[in-house]
Amino acid sequence: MKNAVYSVKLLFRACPAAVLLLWVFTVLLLILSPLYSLVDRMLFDMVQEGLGGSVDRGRILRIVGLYFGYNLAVFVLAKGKEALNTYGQAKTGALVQEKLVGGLESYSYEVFEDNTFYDRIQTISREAGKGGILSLSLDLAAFAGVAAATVSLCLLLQPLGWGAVALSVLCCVPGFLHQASFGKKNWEFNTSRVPLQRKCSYYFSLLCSREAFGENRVFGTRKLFWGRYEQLYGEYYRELRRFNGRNCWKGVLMAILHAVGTVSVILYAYYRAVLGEISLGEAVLYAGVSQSIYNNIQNAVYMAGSISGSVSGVRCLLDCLREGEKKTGRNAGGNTGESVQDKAVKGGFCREKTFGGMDVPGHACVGEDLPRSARQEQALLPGVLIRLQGVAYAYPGTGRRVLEGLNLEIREGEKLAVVGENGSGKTTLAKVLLGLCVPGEGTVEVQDRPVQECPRYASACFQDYAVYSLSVRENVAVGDPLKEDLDREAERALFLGGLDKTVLGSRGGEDFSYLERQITRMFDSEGLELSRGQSQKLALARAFLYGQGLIVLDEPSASMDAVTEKEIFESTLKLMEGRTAVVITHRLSNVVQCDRIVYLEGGKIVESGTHEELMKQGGRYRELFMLQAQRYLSKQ
Amino acid sequence: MKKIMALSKGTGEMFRILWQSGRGLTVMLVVNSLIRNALWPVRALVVKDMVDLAAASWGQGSAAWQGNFMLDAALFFACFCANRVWWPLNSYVQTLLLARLGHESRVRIMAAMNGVGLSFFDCAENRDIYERALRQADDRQPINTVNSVMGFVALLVSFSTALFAMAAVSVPVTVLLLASSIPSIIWEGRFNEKVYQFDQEAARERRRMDYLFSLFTDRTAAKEIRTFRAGPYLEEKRRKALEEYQGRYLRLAGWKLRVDGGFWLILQGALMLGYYLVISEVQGRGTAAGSLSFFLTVAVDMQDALRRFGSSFNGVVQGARYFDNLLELERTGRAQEEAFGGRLTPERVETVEFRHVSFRYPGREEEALHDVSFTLRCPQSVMLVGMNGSGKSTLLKLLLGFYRPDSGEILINSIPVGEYDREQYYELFSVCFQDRMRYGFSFQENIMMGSPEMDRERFWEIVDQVQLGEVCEKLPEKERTNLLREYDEGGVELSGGQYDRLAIARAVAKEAPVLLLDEPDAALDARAEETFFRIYDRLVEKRLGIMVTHRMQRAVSADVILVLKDGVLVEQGNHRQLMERKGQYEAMFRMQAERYWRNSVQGEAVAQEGNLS
Repeated sequence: MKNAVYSVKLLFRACPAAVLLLWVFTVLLLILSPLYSLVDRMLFDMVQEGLGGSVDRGRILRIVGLYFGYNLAVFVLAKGKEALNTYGQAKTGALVQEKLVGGLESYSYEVFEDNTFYDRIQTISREAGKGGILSLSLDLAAFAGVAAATVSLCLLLQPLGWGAVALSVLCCVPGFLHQASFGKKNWEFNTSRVPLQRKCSYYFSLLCSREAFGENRVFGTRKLFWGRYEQLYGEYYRELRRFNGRNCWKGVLMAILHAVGTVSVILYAYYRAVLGEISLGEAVLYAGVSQSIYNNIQNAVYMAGSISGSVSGVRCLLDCLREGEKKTGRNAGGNTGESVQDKAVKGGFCREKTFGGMDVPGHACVGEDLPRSARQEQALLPGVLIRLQGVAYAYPGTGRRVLEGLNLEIREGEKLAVVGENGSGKTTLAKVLLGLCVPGEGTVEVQDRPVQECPRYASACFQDYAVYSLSVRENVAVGDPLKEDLDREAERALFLGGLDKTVLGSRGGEDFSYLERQITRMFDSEGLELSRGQSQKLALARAFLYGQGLIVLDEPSASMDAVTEKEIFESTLKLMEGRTAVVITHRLSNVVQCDRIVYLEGGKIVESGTHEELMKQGGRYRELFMLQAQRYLSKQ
Repeated sequence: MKKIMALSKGTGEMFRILWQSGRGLTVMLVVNSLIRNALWPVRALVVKDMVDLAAASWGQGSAAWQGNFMLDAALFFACFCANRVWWPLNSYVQTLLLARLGHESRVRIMAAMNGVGLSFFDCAENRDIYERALRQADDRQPINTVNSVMGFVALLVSFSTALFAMAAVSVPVTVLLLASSIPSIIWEGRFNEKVYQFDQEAARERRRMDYLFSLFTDRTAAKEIRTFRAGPYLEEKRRKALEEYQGRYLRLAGWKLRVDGGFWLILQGALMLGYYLVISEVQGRGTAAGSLSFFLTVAVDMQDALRRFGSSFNGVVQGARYFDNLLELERTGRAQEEAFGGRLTPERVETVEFRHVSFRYPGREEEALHDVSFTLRCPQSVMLVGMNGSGKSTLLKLLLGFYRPDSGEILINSIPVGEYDREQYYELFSVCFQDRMRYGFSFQENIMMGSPEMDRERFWEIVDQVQLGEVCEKLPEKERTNLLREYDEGGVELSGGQYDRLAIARAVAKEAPVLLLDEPDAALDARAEETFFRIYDRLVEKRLGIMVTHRMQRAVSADVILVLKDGVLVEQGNHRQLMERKGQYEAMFRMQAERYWRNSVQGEAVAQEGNLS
């Protein structure tokens, strides 16, 4: 019920006039159908009356006029409905997609780590593309129209006898019931086979995608995947056939039953006419009406099927939209109508005003609404930026704690290195610091405020960074597209990230046209395909451009050559004086310059201190460091 | 003439693919289509006869016509029933055929994609073709076309029936009705042409729209969108793309509406004139009530049928063109497949040689590799070093035959690679790419997929070698646990470093004579790295191992080091030779080594530990 109200609200927000008109048109179109039979009757009565007599041109013209009127009305309504439907679908589709995007965005990152979420997203985005909400409301309107039309048709048929009415209605009922249940079952069938189909298309994509191309060739896995694909498809097809086969025979049976009922009514009408008990016009009317009843019921059947079929899907979609709306409302304080432009301008302005004159970028927007004096006070003391207390974290759906009772304080401007073996929780710690993952136990505070309340305080370069099929500028400035003097800023960020701009096609000097170039050839044959190292540098540039507080670098140099790596760690971090940095890396020579190094094991910090301190301590850090150093040193 | 040739070819293709998909189903589809398209004049004739009977019986007795009436009644029932039963049968046939058809098209796409080289993916046009071919795999176009073709045949039959019967009613009216349909026949073809064009043009726009939308549902992008607050910007961009697409679509629809209206007026005008004439005539003659009923039913249908001639025909044309994408894809696949034309089967690898190889990515100005020559022997340990973008990965891709060099030759055992059989050629290689695949299969399959006949002992040996034994033991179903959660509720996600080790295990499991590794150590921790190199050193005792790495310490023990700079092979030799040259390599090595050297507590302590281990 809530969903019904909500979906109406949604439709009205998209295009109120079109939706209302659509409903009216749908109902009218259905109610019109008995009229045609009535005109038929007039015509045949006239023919019978005027048998052999003179031709009454006026009367004929009137009848032809009526036919034309009827046809015109039907045409206008049908075409109008079609056009409105196209328009309405476009509008509601856009709105739904927008809401969905807003909703998805408002979800915390953690839901993406959740197993079932992907399945749900899959169903929902498919549903959004189908335009089910509007169709469903139209189907419901049509249902009302069908009911009204059926009643009026039954009244028209009544003079032939209640028996005839009952027969022509009742013979449709079993088919109706069958079809209604089939629609629901069909939906259930299709939904339950989604995982199967998805797996099937997964194998298909493994055979056809660029990503899998190389391994496929070298490992000769083509036959294996192909076989799996065939097997899964076969399974799906067999089930599909069994399911549809059963329903098909039932459907045929119902069809015959229906034919028997309707045909006997029609034949009865003609039989009476032949006997002379009713006029020919009446017979034609009854024949028309009983077929219209059939058409009506068929419509109803079809709609019932599509209604019950789409109801569950639409419900899923609506639930998601509503949830999303609630969340966005809470998070952003209802700025749904605000355009990006406004927001970005505001954001920029606020930064300008509050921090323009200060040399402590560590604050960034964190203290945005603190009183000015308090902020200044904080700015003077290089205090604690982030404080983690007793943090424990397990990914949703798993019981295993990746972080366990972790305590950590990061000071403003500090360069902190996080080291440890694979799987010790380094990346998860980064996600917690960024507020992407909210720990079940313990607190994460940024300047004594919960991390969730401090958006825009940090940027990051992730291990699995994204490369967008957009322009270079957009790739670098995706979070801050309206930054002042963007071109120069972007160029500086690219420089900091170590990406040589000539690779991007820059001709040097004041030429910024290379920022327009597209990355990847997905949409542009002239697009730039970057190597892995170059992509990582691009992601790094993105991290440098954005925000002013914390910067988290997760394995920033994994794919970088020696020269760039050295630059990143020695010059770049220095250039970011004043910015707090957390660096996760396996290359221990890189962390030597860091202010502090923490060694993570099993989700806990086991060692902490500067390079010299840890080397003296002779613990795990030293062990790992020596392991890496020995090859360089023993054979030099 | 050309058009007709293409048409018959396209239609033939369509029938062939349908026939391959399911013979019984195709036959049923044809029969169904016949029933739907050929039955209406018959039914109208039956009704006409009944109305005539009724008219004739006015004021007469009832004995004479009873037999006729029963016959008409039976015929009417048969028509009605066939018409009604057609419906569930049709939905059954179409559902199944659609599923089969999608499968059949996919199989052909997979076969075509098997032939293409990696350069196929570098061209946006190719991706568009692929995208369209795939979308069309789920399209009901072939079914529609069969319906169109069959409808066309049935229409001819039923139309001529109706025409004769109509002519009996009134010749001028028949001509009038026929003439009124002509404009819309011509126009509908034009419109369909436009729709087809729009579809082709909009493929990329729609792809972009979908891409932008998919960023919001993607796990990797989700992280960045939240950290960088990139949502609003991307959302704005998505909205613009959507608006642009929809704007065009709506304009097209609006245009169609206007033109439709115009043609409707012409048709209706003619029809109404026909009504008037026929009704006057019937009233004048008085006895032909049946003809009137027949006319009322058939006139509209006939106009419609005539219009459908056009759309049927155009449907066939359209359908034929929809297949162009698949055919083009297959052509591209075949053209690229010829890169490996040979039949030679390599027994083992003795030498791998690059002879003046130059290569430029399609659409790029600068060369990725320039005049690269070297010879490697098996067994040997080879390190490929150089800055990012110097052409290291490209070199591996060329060796694997994913791309063809623009000039120069690549030879295995002094025979150009083109002369080998492709499948056999890949038997020679095992590889760990930079972009390692994560497969949604079980842990075991992830390792064994390239070498299914491996025994359990060897499997566990490899797992232990890459230090995944412990990880595997902890998995809920041990080695049978599925990875990735996208495809299995109970699937498990490993960490980045663990996936890397899995990819290394996969490369090791396939015991090929040449082992290619592209930065296998990028995300490994120090301990795992150390173990990996110990395995690697053992592996290359009997193999040719070529590894791309940025960790210079690994190059120390290599037999050959190839140093690439901007696509040019600037130095080659072993560690000692290159250090003595004091060139590119020496500079890079010193840079990394110094940082360790400087920061070790005491040089001696390090040396000592080095000696101990």
